[in-house]
Amino acid sequence: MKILEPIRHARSLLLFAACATACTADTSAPLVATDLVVTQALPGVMMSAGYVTLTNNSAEIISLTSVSSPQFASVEIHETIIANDIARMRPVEKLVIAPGQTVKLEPGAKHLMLMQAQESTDKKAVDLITLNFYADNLLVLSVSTTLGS
Amino acid sequence: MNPKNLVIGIVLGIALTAGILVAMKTINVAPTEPGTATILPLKTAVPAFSAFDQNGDAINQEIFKGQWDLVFFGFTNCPDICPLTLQVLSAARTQLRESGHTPLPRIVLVSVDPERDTPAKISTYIDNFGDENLGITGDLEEIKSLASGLFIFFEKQAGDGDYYAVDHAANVLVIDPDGRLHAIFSTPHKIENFVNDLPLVTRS
Repeated sequence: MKILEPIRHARSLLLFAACATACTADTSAPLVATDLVVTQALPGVMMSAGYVTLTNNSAEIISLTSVSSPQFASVEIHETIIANDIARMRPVEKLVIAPGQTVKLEPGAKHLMLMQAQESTDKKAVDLITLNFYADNLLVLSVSTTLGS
Repeated sequence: MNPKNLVIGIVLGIALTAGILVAMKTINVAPTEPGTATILPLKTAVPAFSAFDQNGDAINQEIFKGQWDLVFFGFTNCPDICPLTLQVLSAARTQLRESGHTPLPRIVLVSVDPERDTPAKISTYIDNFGDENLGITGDLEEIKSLASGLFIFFEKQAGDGDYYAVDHAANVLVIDPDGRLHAIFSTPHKIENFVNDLPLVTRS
């Protein structure tokens, strides 16, 4: 089993798996996202949470190192760790998904933290959230959903 | 003892025990002890503190007297565990109300991030989790005093400007109408834990 080499596998991985509200994910893509939810930040709150299920359909390990969104200044993969009744939230530097593995980003566990929502001039696009997942600097997955769905 | 009588006694004993067990199962005997909550043998009074409620009104330890409270220490910019916990408490309270349970506990959020959580922000936030909730914020040292008096840990983490996290205890405290720490719900929090145990806790 090899660690994904972004340049060599760029072509196959750039087959995006897009999953909007009416999810039409290409289940044959190397990395597939399903059940994507971005919570609507409560009034006065600067942060939203994102949850998604990621499946690696490729024969290589996929290591996600960063996430971005045009609608937020910053997106990070975080993990809520509860030990001895103490809740700690820590950044996840690398999300490793083995071939054939499904990883869930879900409430109370690993999740996306979306910070500082950007002002949009496009009223129609204001609730559409796009998330771009990167392995090093290579875009491997781009998914969209509506806010709060 | 006559061996014959001994056998008859044993058979009757087994039959009686089995009958009791079947009867208990049939009539679905309600539990008498909480399944997940820990009722404290020694009740600790809420310590003296001075802070503000969500309306900006000054409050102190007296605010905890006169009703049952479910107290959670969290913060509004906590995107995951805090809203999850408050949703559980809100749903449990709704179920208890619909089942006619009294007394209905109040949900209390004490901010472990008083630097960012103004009374106005707390007010808007807790309104998302039902009516009659109480939000508490104020001077950091006062909140620390309240927390430590209730055995609650919290610690601000390094971050970037306004973007930082706060580690904090995730258990839910039950404060009784005398303003004393009465019981504790440990994680993980589930709606049924509160629905099943609160009627037992509030009459213990």
